[in-house]
Amino acid sequence: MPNDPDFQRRVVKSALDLLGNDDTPVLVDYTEEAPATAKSGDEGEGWVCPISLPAQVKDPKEETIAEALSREIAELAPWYELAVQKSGRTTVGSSGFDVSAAGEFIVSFLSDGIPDSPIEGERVDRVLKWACDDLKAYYYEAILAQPGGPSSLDLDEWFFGQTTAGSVFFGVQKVLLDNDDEIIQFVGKERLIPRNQQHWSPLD
Amino acid sequence: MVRLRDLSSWDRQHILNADVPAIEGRPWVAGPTSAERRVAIVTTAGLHRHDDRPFTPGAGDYRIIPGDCAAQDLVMSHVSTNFDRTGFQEDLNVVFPIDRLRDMATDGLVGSLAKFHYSFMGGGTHPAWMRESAEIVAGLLHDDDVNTVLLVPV
Repeated sequence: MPNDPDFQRRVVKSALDLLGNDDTPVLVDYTEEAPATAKSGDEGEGWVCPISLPAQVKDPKEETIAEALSREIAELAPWYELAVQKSGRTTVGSSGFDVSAAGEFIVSFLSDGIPDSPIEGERVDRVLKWACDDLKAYYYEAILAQPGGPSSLDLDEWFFGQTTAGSVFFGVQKVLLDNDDEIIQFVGKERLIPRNQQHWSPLD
Repeated sequence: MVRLRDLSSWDRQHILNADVPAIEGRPWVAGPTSAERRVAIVTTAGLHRHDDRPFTPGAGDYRIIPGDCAAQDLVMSHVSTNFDRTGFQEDLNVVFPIDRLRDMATDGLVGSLAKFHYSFMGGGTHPAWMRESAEIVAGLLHDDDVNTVLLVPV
């Protein structure tokens, strides 16, 4: 349970108290349920993203998907910066890219196929996974700082179903699945899209 | 707490089918009193500092997290795309309850905290692949006079 120090403390204390047992093995349930939160998905009401993002691609003749992704990242920037200011931290940073560079690297798979790894000594599919994690974290943090807390499922549905970034992920997934390298195929199948979001796939 | 019945059928079967090694005997020792506990966290959240190498699939290695490491210095490169990261994004303590332990040390509920904590990759890595690293980490914990480890599985 995030941002609930009292609940967290009770859980940790309960775990450490088990060490006082003389009789073993010790395997007990923690019976206190996590405090209820006012996540919109819990009530069955559709969550609406408070940040209004324009159409994914304005007009294919005027804007490439790479340009649309870049525009979307830029539009989220003020919200992301506000989130970082509020929390004092960000979880973006596994890949070592800034988020724009991460987006450019990911979307390059759609036009150029599998590129060379931009990090010497690392497989390109690993770098892709880290870049995808960073891009996703950037989007999620931007939204999590907004009032009206969405559930994690709301966020997944929004990211994979309504954003340009989500559609880029599905496009990259197809590129990976079409590749002959079994590891790259595996990354495409298992490492980019959560199982509960595959229903947005244009391949289905 | 999360219960099997609350999971999707895929996740439930995945956990029920896990290859879990049997532990022979009852390897239990009585813990020290609270005031004598020196506590370290070992998490499998794939956490590491910004400038550490990210974790890779199947990795059995570990990353060191200094006890004075600030939340803004830590990122996650857990390989699974299926688990919910939003809790971690909102609050590091969900996967690495360092602030709670600091509070408890201040209040005397535990004696002290370790100089270093440790992070492993909890997805796609069989526990046996961590054995060599786990033995090294056990030695490091011993050298740091740690007598209590809080394991945080992710």
